[in-house]
Amino acid sequence: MSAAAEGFAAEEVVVRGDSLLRRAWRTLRRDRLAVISFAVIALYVAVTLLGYAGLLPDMQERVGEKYEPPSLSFAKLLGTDIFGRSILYKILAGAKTAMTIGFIVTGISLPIGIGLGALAGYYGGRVDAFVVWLYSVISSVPSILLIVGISYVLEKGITAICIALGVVSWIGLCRLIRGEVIKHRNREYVLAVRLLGAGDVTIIFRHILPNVFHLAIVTASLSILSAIKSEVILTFLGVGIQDGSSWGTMITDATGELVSGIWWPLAGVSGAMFLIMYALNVAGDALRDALDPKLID
Amino acid sequence: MRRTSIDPRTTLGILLGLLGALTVLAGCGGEEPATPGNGKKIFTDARRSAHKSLDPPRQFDGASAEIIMNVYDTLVEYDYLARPYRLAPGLLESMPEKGPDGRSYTFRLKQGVRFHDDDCFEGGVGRELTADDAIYSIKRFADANVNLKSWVLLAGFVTGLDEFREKTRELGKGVDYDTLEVPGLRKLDDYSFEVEFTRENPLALFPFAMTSMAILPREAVEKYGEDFASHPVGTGPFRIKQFSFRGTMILEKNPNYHGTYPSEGAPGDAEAGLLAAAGQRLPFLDEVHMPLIEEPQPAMLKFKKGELDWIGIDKDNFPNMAYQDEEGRFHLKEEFAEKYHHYAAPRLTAEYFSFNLQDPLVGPNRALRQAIAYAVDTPAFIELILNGRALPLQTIVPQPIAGSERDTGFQYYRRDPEMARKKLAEAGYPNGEGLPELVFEYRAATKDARQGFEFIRNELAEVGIRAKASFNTFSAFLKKLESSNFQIASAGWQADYPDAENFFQLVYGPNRTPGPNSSTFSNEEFDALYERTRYMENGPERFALFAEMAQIMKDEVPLLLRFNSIAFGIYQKDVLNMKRHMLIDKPYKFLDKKAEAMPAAEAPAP
Repeated sequence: MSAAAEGFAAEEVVVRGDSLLRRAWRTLRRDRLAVISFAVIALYVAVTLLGYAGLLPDMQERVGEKYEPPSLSFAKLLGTDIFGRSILYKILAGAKTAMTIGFIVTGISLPIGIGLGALAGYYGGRVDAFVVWLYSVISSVPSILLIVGISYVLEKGITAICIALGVVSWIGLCRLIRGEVIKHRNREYVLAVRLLGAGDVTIIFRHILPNVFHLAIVTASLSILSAIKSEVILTFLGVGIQDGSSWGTMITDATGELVSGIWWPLAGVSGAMFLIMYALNVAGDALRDALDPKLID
Repeated sequence: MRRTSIDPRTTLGILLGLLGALTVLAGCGGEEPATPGNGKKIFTDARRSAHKSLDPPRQFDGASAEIIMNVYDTLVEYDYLARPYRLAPGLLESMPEKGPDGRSYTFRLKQGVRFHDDDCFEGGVGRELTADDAIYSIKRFADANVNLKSWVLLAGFVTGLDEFREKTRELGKGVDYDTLEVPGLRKLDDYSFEVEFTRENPLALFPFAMTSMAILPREAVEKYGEDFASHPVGTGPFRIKQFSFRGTMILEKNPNYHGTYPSEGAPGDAEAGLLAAAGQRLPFLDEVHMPLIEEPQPAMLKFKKGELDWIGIDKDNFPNMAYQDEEGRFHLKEEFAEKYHHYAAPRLTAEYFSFNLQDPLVGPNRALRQAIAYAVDTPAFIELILNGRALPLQTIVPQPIAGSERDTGFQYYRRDPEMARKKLAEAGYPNGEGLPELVFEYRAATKDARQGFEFIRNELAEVGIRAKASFNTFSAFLKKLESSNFQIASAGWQADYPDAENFFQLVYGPNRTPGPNSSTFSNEEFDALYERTRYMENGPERFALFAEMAQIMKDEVPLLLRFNSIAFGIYQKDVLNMKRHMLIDKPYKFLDKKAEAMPAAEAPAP
């Protein structure tokens, strides 16, 4: 009987999922701004992958004199810094750091948020009380303090930032999923599979979650964005990335340089941040429109 | 319509945040401009941080000392104009006279010096200063319940004072000092007393010039108790008119001040107009306004608007306003030179990298330390990171202090990548192969610290040494130093008194951690030389021994010597008598302003 139930469920997911995704794809393709945004994100991802493959130019290399303004050579396209290093190369290294942190943090927070949210919503009672207590406690601590604290314990650096941001950024998603699951758990289709004898795990993961998963996708795209922002801000404040390969570091340096009329480091790094932030925002929005069942018809 | 749901706050917020960080600082403050009103001479000078305590023996920070040195007096003080730095009588008639035993000094107080008028005195009128006040203040300085910070500078100097300190520790707070005699402090009459030192010691008088040894009246301590820290009663050139912790502290002239302007100066002082006021009664200013402005940028904007009279130039403003010529002299750019005067003077500081000799990697490997010393280019660092505002150290002694390389002629390492590679191979790491990443500890997480490290990292990378940095808070940094929990630390030392001994003690064996010898260097030959030179008068004999000590420090590299920074500041053209003195940070009592000039004719020239 359980085998039969599973077969039935699997079939349902395939049919629903397929059509939902296909419909979403059609919607997205029609939106040119969204397509451009996805291309920008893909470009940043490519830079990140190139960085890990060791194919990005060395940001420590001195390519010219100190503080050369932008010129037409590739390395000096965005000018040079105090040591004569290429601003462009530094921005690429910063992009690698930012994207890495964006994805890892989302990778940490998504499973926690979805898992705890689903458990709390489905079981209610003590489980729910515990999860609600947990995220209330965590969110009652000002997150910047918590992050600073964690990064001091774990020694500053990329690992600490990822863990610290991951630990605090699952809360929003958890709340959302919990609410949705509470709505779904007494729906007819859930009652039906339960009558067919499906276990709790099957019900949660094979039946309820696919119906709320579009929320997770949208949240993920925004979570990458907020992780990148947080990394830059933390590094700007001096508790983030220490080796200089961060946009936050570049902004810290630029504050003093701007007084001396050296505008290109700040302009370059602001442009790079603006592009990815804007693209992630537009993409997140487009995904929500495309995936929300209420907006499909 | 869908696009409207894009959250513009996210991107805009970041951009605004960045711009905000730059601009909002300029808008804060809002102090009233210090326009000289009703003919009063008002000098306005920003404080960079808030003071900790105005109770002399309870403080040991720059911000507190700046105020205390203008409200209180010390028995001896530094001569404002003389260079090299030397002591001059403060509350004394003349410098203490050495007795026949070479250890006892007679201190004779000026007569007629009065404390500021205050309610703690009978009738609210300040009474005359006597020898009892001086002895009381010295005892209070030694009280273990009062002075937790600066005692070490007098420890072991005065006969019986260390035992007195131990007694106060046993007896706890509120000891009556009259019941505890100190054999080395003897009152001769109302205006003179004798201090007996434990041995002949040319350094013995320096601590008496520290702000923490300022002379204060017992009545005020007893009346105000804990509040004494914010209710100073001294004999100084100014008294506090408006007390403010984070706002504008206002000092007003003490009309009964006893001090006079020095009548002798260093060569060139007369030409510079610094002796125009010779022999005149101090102070000249009616009020000193000290607003608290922590960030350099708003302070500079205020200075340019004429709301501050004096300011040090920070690194970011320097390239806009000043430059260094080929011979290394500093100048203001023309548009600023028309409006302001400037000075450039070496500080009494030494910056260095301290190698932890307990560390299993850099500790036992002398060749590795030498390789690092050959790899770094300090002059280039000074040029790029400090806008040229420092002198490379050749010995641990900074230039203005007797016994520096000016007297010894000693030369330290110069960058030599070939030698660095050779030494690295000798250390067992040819081309850096097999050498783990070195860790540099910094005492701040600031932009300057990070850029400074990036420079060093590039230099080291060129010879095959990899390095990373850890940027600490100052307290975390000190903890690492005190527990020998570091590999290489970017450390520095500021003179407590202008003598070379104060710098050589940084590598004296018995001063090992938790003392100031953070590298835990211990070398019998060096220690013996140190002990010989410690109590010697300056002269060729002492300097020759200094050169030997410098050679040991160069061979063993417990510290990698770097630079002695230069203070560069500007002040308004109507400020008189300015001569930057590194041990008198705020010499308000000597400063003057030109009498208010007639307002410039507003009509354009015909």
